[in-house]
Amino acid sequence: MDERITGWWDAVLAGETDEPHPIHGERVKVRLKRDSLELTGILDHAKDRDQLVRQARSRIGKGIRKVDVERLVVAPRLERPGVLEQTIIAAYSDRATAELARNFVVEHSRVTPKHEAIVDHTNSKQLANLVPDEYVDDIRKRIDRGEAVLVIRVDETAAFTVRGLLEEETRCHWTMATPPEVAARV
Amino acid sequence: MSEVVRSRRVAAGQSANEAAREHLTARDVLKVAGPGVITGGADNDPAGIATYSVVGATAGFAQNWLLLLATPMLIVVQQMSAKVANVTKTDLATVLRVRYGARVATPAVVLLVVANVITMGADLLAMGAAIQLVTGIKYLYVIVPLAALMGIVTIFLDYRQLSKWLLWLVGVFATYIVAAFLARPNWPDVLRQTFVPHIEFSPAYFLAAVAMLGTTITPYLFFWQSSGEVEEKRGVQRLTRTNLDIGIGMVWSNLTAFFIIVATGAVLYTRHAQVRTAADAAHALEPFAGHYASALFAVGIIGAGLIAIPVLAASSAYGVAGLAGWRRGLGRPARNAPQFYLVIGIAFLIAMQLAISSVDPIKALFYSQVLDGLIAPILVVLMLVTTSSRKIMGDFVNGVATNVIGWGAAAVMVAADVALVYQLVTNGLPS
Repeated sequence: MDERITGWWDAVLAGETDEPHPIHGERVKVRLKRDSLELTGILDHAKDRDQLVRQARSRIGKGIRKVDVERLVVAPRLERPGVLEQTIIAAYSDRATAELARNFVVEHSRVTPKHEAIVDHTNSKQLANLVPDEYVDDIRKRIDRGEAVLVIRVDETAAFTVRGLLEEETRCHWTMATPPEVAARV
Repeated sequence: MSEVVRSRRVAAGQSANEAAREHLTARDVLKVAGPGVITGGADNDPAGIATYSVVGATAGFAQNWLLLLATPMLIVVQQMSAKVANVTKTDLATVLRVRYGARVATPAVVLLVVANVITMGADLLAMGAAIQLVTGIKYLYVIVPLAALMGIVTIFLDYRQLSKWLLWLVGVFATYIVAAFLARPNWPDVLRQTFVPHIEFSPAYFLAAVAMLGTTITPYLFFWQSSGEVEEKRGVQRLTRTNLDIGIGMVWSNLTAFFIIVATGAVLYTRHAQVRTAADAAHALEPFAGHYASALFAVGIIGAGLIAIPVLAASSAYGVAGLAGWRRGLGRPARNAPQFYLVIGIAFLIAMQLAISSVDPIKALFYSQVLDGLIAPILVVLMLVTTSSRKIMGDFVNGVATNVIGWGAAAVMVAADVALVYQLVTNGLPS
């Protein structure tokens, strides 16, 4: 198990229930009530919920006797994955920052990108293959200023999460989303 | 059904818009209520109720047909706000900043926040007056606890909990339907004036029309709608649901406005009663329509404030945070988005100060309407340009009907601005 997650669980059992979860952040809330641990929140995927419940139950006997996960739910999903795709673009001061942002977003959104690339002046020729023609000039202006651009193509159902993370949680200078398109594999 | 099988439903050559289209069942229709219905409720804030009451008291039912005309305009403008968010995956303030630059986005957001805070102050005062009418407690004593309570609820309740409460509160507007029936209007006359347009070429008639349209289509609704879509992450696959949610919300909103005008028109217009505020209207109804009509009208004002004030505060914070690129959202806890919540807190404090100071509510209402009137057509035009751009919207670009109604709404709002300038030039500032 990821050391950060083990550390988080240790902190929770020690009483630090305010600490945000390393992956799910503020979406998961924990409360310790005497000998029981309550997990609440809304997660995007059932597998994430199962994993959290498993991790919590494996800690029974280590300061807790009971785990209450009744209010830890998976968000009802009305959208169909695999129908549409969308490309999210974010500009950073340099390639290293863009790479950190990519790693952060992939980990926290729990999304597998359909395609992703970091473009700067060293590989700007591939830009035309990554984004619609109408966006090439906007991005090239950023690259000409010395910035590195993260281009990440995801399922449309994950695009809100990815854009939100890029825009609000990373040090990007600029973000943009191309319009949703029919998924390429269909 | 597996994801793979579902994805095969997309036929070759289909546009993204066709592929995303959702077919709703009757059961789905019952579950569509969301940001659209809340926005509809927030549209009729106490200041709006005051405007509709004054329209009813001064013009009777003569302007009901304008509400009928404004309904599709309001629906289209709100649907554009939602669509921008669902296609670009961000809120309206961010779209304005990224697409049009800070020079366009900053004045729009600053004017929005100033207008919102003044409106919040006027709304708090109206709620206090309504509580005084119902309970006899002097309005000054209730404003601070009321503002504190709403501030705490807005800051500490999660978006989902808050929106659930706001959705229930939208039902409070049914009080105006009952109040309208208790006022015993001449229904054939009401219906005739609603469905048969009638124009009087008098300044009073025209200014009342302008005030009514300006109150119906207001900028804070655009920001709340788009941010609500981001909070709910509805996306383009739920556009049918979103559009229906908005349709229901806006029809309910204008239906409420219709019944307010019917109640005040039936009782106050025929008796030439003078009203300046929503509480004035509630008070004036009592001798003619009875205590229940008056009390229901006042309860409606309190409920309207409970919906609109948190929406006004939150839409200001969404605007500022989107402009500055801060973490934002009522779905986040306060410690995770401190600047966003600070804006909400400051908005409440200033509004409370305005409400308890000696600011004239009518003047406050007038100035907030002037500011709203200035930015509303600009925002509608920017949204029309954005949602008509294939580069930005792809296959979700506006259709002909949306553009015709949208540009019609922009033209009406520009006309409203011209009328406002005319009023200022001929009559000066309100005394």
